[in-house]
Amino acid sequence: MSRLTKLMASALLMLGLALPAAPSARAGTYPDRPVTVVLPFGAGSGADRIIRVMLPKMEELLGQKIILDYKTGGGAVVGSNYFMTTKPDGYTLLFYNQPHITMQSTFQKTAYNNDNLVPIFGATWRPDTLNVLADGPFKTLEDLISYARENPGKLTVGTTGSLSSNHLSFALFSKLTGLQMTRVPFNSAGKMNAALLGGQIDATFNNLQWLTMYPGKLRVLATASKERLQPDIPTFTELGYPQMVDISAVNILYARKGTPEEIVERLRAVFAPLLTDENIKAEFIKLDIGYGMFDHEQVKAITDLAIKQTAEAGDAIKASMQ
Amino acid sequence: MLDMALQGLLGVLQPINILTLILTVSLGIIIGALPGFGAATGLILVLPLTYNLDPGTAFVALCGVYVGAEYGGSISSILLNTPGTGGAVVTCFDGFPMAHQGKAREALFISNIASFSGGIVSGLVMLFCMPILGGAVLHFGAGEIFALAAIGLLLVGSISAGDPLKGIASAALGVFMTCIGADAFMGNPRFDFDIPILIGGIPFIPVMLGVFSVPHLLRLALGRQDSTQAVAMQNMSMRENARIFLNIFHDMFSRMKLLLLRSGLFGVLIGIVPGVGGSVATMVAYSSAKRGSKHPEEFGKGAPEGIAAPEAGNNGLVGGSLIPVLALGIPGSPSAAIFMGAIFLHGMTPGPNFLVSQGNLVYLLIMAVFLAAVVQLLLGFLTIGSFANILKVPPYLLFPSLLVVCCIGAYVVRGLEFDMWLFSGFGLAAFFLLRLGFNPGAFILGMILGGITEGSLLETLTLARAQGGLLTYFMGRTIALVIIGLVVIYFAYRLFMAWRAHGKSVKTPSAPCAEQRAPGPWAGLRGYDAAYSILVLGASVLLYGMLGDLAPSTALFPRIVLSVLIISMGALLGKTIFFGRQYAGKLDSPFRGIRWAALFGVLIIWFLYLRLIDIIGFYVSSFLMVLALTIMLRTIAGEVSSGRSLSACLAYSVLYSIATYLVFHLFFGIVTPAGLLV
Repeated sequence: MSRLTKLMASALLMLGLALPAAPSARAGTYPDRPVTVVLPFGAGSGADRIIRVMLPKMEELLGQKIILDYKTGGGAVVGSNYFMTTKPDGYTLLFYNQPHITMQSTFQKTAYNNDNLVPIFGATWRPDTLNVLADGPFKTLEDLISYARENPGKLTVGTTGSLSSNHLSFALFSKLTGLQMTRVPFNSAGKMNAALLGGQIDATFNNLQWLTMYPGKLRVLATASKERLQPDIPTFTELGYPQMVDISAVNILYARKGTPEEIVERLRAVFAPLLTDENIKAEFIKLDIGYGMFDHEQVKAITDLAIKQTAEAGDAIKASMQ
Repeated sequence: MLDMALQGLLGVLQPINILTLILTVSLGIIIGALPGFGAATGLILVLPLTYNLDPGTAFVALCGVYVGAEYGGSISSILLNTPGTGGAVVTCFDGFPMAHQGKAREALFISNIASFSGGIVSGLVMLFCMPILGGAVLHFGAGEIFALAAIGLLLVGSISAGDPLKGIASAALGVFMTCIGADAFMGNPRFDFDIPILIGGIPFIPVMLGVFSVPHLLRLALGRQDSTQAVAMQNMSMRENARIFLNIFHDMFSRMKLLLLRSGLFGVLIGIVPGVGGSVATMVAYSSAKRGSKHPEEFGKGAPEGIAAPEAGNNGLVGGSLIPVLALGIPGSPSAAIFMGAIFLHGMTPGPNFLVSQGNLVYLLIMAVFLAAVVQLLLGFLTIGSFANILKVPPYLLFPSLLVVCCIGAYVVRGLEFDMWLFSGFGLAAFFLLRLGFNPGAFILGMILGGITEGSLLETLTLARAQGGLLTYFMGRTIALVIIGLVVIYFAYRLFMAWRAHGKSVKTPSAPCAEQRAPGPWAGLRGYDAAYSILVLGASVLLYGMLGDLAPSTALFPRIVLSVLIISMGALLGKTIFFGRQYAGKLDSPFRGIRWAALFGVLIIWFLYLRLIDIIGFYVSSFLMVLALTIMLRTIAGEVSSGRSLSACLAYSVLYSIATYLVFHLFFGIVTPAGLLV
């Protein structure tokens, strides 16, 4: 049937409908038409808010319009799989995050993985935190651990989604401590916070943004960061879990593997000024979405760490998917 | 508080805000009326347009779109039997039959007035009870949400017309659709048959558009000039229009005021609960209106209350879903999440302190809900004529034009071309299955509720296991227990009433609503019924066999659903075989009256259209499809084709494609598949 439709299509073209010359992907003129960025999370999602902050500057640097193409479904698997069917010509890019990519490609069948995605740059830095109610029974990480040890399976911990950074934190934490805890996945951070505030669950893996949303209501027991994010909150490293470090969702702009090397280099060079742009930094801080900008080599380091942590927590991740 | 409310009122009465509301409510009504474009889609499309407004005006704008879209959704339900949104499914049950009887104007007026009253009720609740109700959100955990979702599923059976067994089977089939793809709790894939796109599941909007609009459109396009087209409204002078409107207004507020209040409150209260959403609110409102009515047998055949209740319910939802966002920073629905996004975008932090720190803004928004309701009432009245004109469009133009809009509506939610195929495939299947008693309303409501039911069920079980058992879990949950108790009492009461009524009266055969009525009499369906049930039964058993390899929690819900499906289909089969004799009369094919040649022609063009979109882009292929179908359908309808009429068809196709391009591409910025051309 597809031959028939192609025949029809060419017949139509011969009838004199205007046909713009098929643009070829050559680095010399790249980009000579708008560039599409696939967002595997929907319009209005966190990733959408983040890229929209940078969009005007990105268009200015690129000298072309950037079209946001939302392809959603299945925890971003559908949109990212779709991206792998587009031409590797630099005119379609993907904005997706680590450690989702690592986790999903390890534990699910996906068309994409760390080997067939080429990073351009990364944005956002929001290390995971372990949170409980401020007026609840757990004052320190030690309190929580000893409760969980005495009551196997009783401690309920929320994470946003499955195979997300929160899920990685949960699995790594339960692996390192050997604790039996019950993971409760939520499809949005808002619902997860409601469950924590309402006492439906005991703790959550999330990030600091929610602390500002619910001042005085939440207590952060530890952060998965190298240094303290706030003077009074310890890091997991200080508390004896140095593996729980730098676990954060990082949104990354990717090209497909097979994109001409010149185009990849060009994209990296063109967007380099973003990484130091003061206005973008101010805007990230104002919107409280976790400032952090990474060039492709830093992205590589972030990815390698995610791969290492995912491998280490492998059994615990599988066990918490049952 | 009074002080702040007054300030809010003054704020919203500023000319800029009134102007914004007029613009955005009209935009919302149009978006809502477009099949598949619900409030959430509308809000996403409008959000970028509000970036540069000041925060107050931006909220007023979003509020206008939200209110307008909730009302607008009923317009396509009533006129085209195609719900614009999930919340407008129930409105089809009585709205379309009423329009079919030539009372489209009255139906639209009722919907408009009911939506207005729902908006006012939700505004009042926001004004007086926001802090209390906001706090209550935290008490709604998985158990309570599951109880509400289960009520929704139980109500599906009781509010849908036709054979109850087929209704249950259709609902179960709909719920099963949500079992395809990732499970709603852990996200483990299942039933994806190694087709990557199925991991994303089957979204309900394309399917809803398909099962509702395709059968209707096909019948319109292929039918001889018979009764399938709703009676077009007569033109009326503005004065006469106003007279009728005021009469209905007066009538509704004297006769139905309790119903309107109750339905609005259902909307607000259910809207507050995260994730449950409009369909349950409208179902509860509809069902309670039907129970409370002196003429319950008129429901499904064009009862005014059957339009008023769900429409008051889904506009009541607006305020309800905003309460948790404003009071706690917790969005319970996609639309509410977009509001929360807008709060972030304007550099503010939602959360419990929002009511205090941004009190002025909150009261401005509450007042905007009131004013938007008023604007919606007036605009709804003024635009009724232009919307109703759609009934005058000849079917050979209406069918291809709506096909384009439905394809965009199916596409826009996930941005996947696959969804246009889903829309078409489900629509075509429904065209045939409808004649076998397949119930699209029950099917879609099942599909809407499936995900939330599974998610909350598994979460409840997980939490209960952690806490040492279901009993311990539910002991501490008064609200869940109350909800479950009410459900048990309600159904026990209904069973008792049914038992008492049994034998007392001769049961009147429940006539299905116009859309579900097969063209022939129900007689003679025996062989087809058997084939239908054997088919579904066989598929269910096969699928059941595939559950073994899945993780226990991933397999649990499909197991329940497939069991229900197997039992109901088995019962249907048994009934057909053993009691089939009561279908007296001649053996008449349910497929009688289909013009196969014409149908085949339409399907070929349709298929080529979807295939071409990839190659030459959406708008160009739409143009070709509209042109080809218009000419073909005109010929089928027996109109003489002359050079002049052909050029009229051409002109229409060109203008229509350009218009859709302008609206969807340029104004809303929807990225459609481009191919070589646009």
